[in-house]
Amino acid sequence: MTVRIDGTPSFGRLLVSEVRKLVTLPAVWGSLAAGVLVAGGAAWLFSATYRADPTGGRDLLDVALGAIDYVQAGFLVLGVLAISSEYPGPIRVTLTTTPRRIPVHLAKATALAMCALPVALVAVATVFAVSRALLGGEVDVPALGTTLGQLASATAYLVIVALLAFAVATGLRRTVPAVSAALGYFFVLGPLIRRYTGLDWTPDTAGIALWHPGSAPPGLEGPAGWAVLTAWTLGLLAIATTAFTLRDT
Amino acid sequence: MRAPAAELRKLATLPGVWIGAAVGLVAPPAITVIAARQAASYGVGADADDGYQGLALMGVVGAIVIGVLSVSSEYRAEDAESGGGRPIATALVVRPGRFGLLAAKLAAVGVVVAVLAAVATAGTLTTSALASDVPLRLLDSGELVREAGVVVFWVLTAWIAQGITLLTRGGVVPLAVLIINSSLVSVSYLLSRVIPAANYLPDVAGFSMFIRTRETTVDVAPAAGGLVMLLWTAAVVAAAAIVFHRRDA
Repeated sequence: MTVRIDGTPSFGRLLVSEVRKLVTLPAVWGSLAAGVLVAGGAAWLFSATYRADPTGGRDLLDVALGAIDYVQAGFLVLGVLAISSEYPGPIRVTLTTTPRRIPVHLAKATALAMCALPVALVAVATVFAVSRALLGGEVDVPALGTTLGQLASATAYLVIVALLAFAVATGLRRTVPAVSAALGYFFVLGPLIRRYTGLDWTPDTAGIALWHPGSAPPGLEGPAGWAVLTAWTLGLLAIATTAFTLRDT
Repeated sequence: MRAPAAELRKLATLPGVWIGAAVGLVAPPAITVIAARQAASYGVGADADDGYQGLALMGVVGAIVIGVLSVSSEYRAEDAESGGGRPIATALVVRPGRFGLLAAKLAAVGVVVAVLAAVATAGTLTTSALASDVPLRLLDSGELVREAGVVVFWVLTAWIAQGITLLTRGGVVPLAVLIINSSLVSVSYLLSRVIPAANYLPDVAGFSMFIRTRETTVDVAPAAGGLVMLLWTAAVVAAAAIVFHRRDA
């Protein structure tokens, strides 16, 4: 084992142990499996809804990527579990073996991103494949470059919202309140704010640019949407890491 | 009557229940005011569903949270320092009958959510009338039936939440399923546009008790909708009761 001179493990070693903790949690596999299943189901649902009521001017990606709205639920739950599974007990062991708060928290965030990325790829590919199979001949299919770019962007979005949920859950430290907060915001409060107020700078609304460029609010398309969502995520992660450093556990 | 009273006291000591109640009371009127202002700025008249939409989509999240927490709090392992036990074990030691405990929990949540729904409905509809030019008709017989529909909808939703949580013994799955389905574009509502039978899913059927202007593919009469939702609730609770009766805890 790589151990530094002061006796604490290196960051790489920390990362390995955090990844191992994540992949041995049944709930993590559950939320990831749910994410991929939801991807298939939601893509079918959106394709079928489109077929029942085809509105003009939409291409395959517009229809398919609508499903990401639901797929993100699995990644929000994953982000919460990545830290809430440490509470109330195991966190003491973690901090006893590695009494370095900031590296521990950063290793957790990195491990989460590493686990979320491959599954996000699978989920986004599933969404596209299902919609393509169902609607292939009925809607325009964008060029390969555009398609790959948008699928990559949607994949990144899923990883980023997992990190956002991770930051919130670090603050709340408990699974049920954190899941309520993350899902309640992304599925109920956020959409209502988007629909009824002019606020576009919320993480969910700015994030639309990443997974459904056609619905992004004016002024927040492309890089601006990326910048706003990234700023929210990094800001909340900074607050979370600070809280994790200042609190007892 | 001591068992329901004990369950009421448990509910009152859970912070999450108070947060759920606050969401249920504050969110629907707030959204109604914002919606009314937006409608006024577009020069659109009042909608027959003003107020009711907020109660159905946003306020009911409070009922969901209360229902889930009333059961999930029993299954949360305590701190290792206090033995790492689960409160459900204590609850069953002091009151060994499974069905009795479940009935007490259903009764306590039913009372709390019914009162909450009644207050939230009165508050939201009053706010809606003040914020727009709709006359306040809280006590008209037609409106009373709709208002009762909201109360029934919230209580049945909370009971379904309790039933699912008792089956899963954790809050994450029921919260994820129920909150996502309360979102603006609910899964079951989308499904009902593709598969007519989905109009008989509990929430879509339940909406017919008080929502008037939403487009549906099958018109379900208010009383029939309430009955369908009641049957779903009975099925979920019965399944939970049987499983709870047969397993250790």
